[in-house]
Amino acid sequence: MASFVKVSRVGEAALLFEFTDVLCGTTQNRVLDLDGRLRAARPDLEIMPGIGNMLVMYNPLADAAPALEAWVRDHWAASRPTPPEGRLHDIPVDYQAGFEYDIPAVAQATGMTPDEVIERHQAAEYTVATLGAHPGYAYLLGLDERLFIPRRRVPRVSIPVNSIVIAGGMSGTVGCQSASGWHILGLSPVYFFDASRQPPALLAPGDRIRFHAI
Amino acid sequence: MLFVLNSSSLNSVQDLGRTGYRAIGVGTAGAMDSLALRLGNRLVGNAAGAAAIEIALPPFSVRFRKEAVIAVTGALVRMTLDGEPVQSWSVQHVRAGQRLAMTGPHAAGARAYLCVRGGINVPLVMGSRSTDVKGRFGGHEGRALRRGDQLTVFPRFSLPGKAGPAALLAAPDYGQGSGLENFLPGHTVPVRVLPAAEYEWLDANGEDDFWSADWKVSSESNRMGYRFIGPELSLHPGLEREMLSHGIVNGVVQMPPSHQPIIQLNDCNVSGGYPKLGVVIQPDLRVLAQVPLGGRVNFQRVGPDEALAARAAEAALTPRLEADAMRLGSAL
Repeated sequence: MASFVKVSRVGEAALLFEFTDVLCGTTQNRVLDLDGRLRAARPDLEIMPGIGNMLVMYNPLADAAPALEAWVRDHWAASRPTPPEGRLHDIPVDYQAGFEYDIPAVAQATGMTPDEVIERHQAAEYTVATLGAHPGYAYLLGLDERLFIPRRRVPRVSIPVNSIVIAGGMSGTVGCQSASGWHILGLSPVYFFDASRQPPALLAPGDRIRFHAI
Repeated sequence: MLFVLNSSSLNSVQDLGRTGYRAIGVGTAGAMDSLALRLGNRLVGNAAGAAAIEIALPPFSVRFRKEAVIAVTGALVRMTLDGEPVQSWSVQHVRAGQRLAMTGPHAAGARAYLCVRGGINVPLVMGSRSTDVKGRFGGHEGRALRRGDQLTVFPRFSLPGKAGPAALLAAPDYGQGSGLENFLPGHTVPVRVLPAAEYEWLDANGEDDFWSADWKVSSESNRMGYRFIGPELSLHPGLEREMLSHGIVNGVVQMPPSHQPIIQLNDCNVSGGYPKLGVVIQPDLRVLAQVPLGGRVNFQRVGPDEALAARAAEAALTPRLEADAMRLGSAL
């Protein structure tokens, strides 16, 4: 079991713990296990699980960095890559809308037909690695390797809310209209973020996702 | 009781922001010059974190339908009350029907805070009244203010106002002994930065450029972040790579593919993969927030001990400044 931990300061009030520099579902499960442990022990801290990493924000006038670092390392050593017990979501996707966006370009880049792109995206079962970026945005692991492509060279200034996107080996669900360099495969009628809902974000780390065409 | 007569698209309701929701992708939003907000609120007798209106770009004019006590803090604003000039950092007693008008660009600084006794009455969303423009929630209808908007304030017991000269508070320090004159054209504003993990990617020239350049704030800068124009930073060969997405903080100085730094601010995305060269120390975020488009910034290197000392000093000073403001305001 890898115990690699790189720790760095992000300003005087946050520490970033990096556990890997490659996409890895096992490591991500362990990051989510760590997230649960840290939150339970210190609900006053703001903790942000990333992709293979963890950001811990604290009040430096109340906590000292060395002690906090040791505390996180201890919990990391104890954490396990247990698959999280997330909910299963079946998300409808209008892939036809994706033809107006990036389905043709993704097909060309990957050497598949548009129908194959859609089929391979739908066939997988995804796990929510974490949320981040903008309200309700979820990063998904489990994308078919044949759909691995880099981000767009020129990001779009604005993409539609509820877009279903892929880039860099992951898929994503867009919670609000925002700038993005990811490729849009379709649009969903589902709202991934609603400020008046409790909780506001539909998806949570560890949830499982299946997409189906409508 | 406030009727917005006119507003650019960059003015919004803000308080001290939202914390605790980064894990679902929701950032702080909130007043970019948080100390100016606190002191403006204290001047008018509010709790420090009451909601106010952040004015980043005039025009902005509002009619008060009821009498009010107000203060405009932060940037030095060219403004009038029924045509008579009014000063920033002063407490004003406003009569029902009067019109506050901010016309030209701010005389010094980039963001002003219109604080009204009682505090702006908009719903709490995730613990804050700040506007989250990206998520379209919070503040007034989740968006910037515009002509025709009507805002109310919470009722507060008001002592009868005295006629007479408006009370004037000295604006706080905005960087190492300088005040708002720091932000006049021709000045370069120093901002203290703690190096971050990918700082070591910079080669000797890159390091030198990073600290010595007079970085110009690009016109593409806004509440999400500031972009800077200056030398393209050079790196040691072979180090540059895409990083996995990780949580970031307000004030992080990143190096995007253009190799010219950007600083993520209150409305930024809460995670990303750009290399981190450094982070602006928390007490200097409000200084940076007052640098206008086209203004110039110089990054000053500090270490963890200095950063902590600066934060402790600000934490000790803030209650005293608030007490001064409250004392001044209560005389009105």
